[in-house]
Amino acid sequence: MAGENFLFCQIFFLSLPLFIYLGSWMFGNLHQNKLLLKLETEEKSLQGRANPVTNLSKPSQVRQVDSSSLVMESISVGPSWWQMFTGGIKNLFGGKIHSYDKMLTYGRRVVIHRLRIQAIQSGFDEVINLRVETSMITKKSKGDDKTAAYEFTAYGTAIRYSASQD
Amino acid sequence: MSQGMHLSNTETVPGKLITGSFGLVQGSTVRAKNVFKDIGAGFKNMVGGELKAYTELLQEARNEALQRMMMDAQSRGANAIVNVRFATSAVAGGAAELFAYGTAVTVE
Repeated sequence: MAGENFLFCQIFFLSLPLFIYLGSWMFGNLHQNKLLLKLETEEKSLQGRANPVTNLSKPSQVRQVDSSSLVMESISVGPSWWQMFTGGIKNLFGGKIHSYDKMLTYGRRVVIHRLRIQAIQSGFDEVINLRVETSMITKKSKGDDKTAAYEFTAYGTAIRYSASQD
Repeated sequence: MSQGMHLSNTETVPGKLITGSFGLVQGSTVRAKNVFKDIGAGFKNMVGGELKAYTELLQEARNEALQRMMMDAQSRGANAIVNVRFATSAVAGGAAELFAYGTAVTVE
């Protein structure tokens, strides 16, 4: 009886990491799909409206500029443990690593989307000279710190044209 | 943002004429992540997605770097900064340096 219990405990503790990764895979997928869906509906709701964000270095219209200011948005996103795990395995053999793609593309899309919303809401006509920067911010050089996050910053110059048409 | 300081990351301030240049100005700050936030973010990392604690931390830090850059420009008598760029680097385990730089100018 005691032997059986012992065996059960052993199996339980040995399979604990497996359960954690399995949970990470399952809930991670659910959570990330939810985030992507939310972004998609938000982007759809803006369809047909002006998309003022460009990376041109000069204003696109030859009109008097009333005011301008620097706008920026940033987000930090991280892949799930499962994605890091599969990415790590894939890293041994080289080739495409799909698991990181999802969150990285999400981060970039969301940051540009938020910049667009910010520009529309604060009444700017256009955002020019958009730059998107990526940086990895957290990874302790030693110790088993599992946290990994990538930071995306989008910034540009928002301009408002003067109302008079001339 | 700072009072009356024009910031832009283009080479000119749109719609304004540059009348004088004061050279490169910069501002930087080093921020370490909070232990408690770290634990929360670590758990959040299990499913992936946005890590709000870090987003806020870095936004705060970036604003401070901007403020320092603007103070530098103000002390030189400039009223605008053009060609603003940001850079982020990890200097030590768990700490990030945020750096903003640009060219201080006066506009009419």
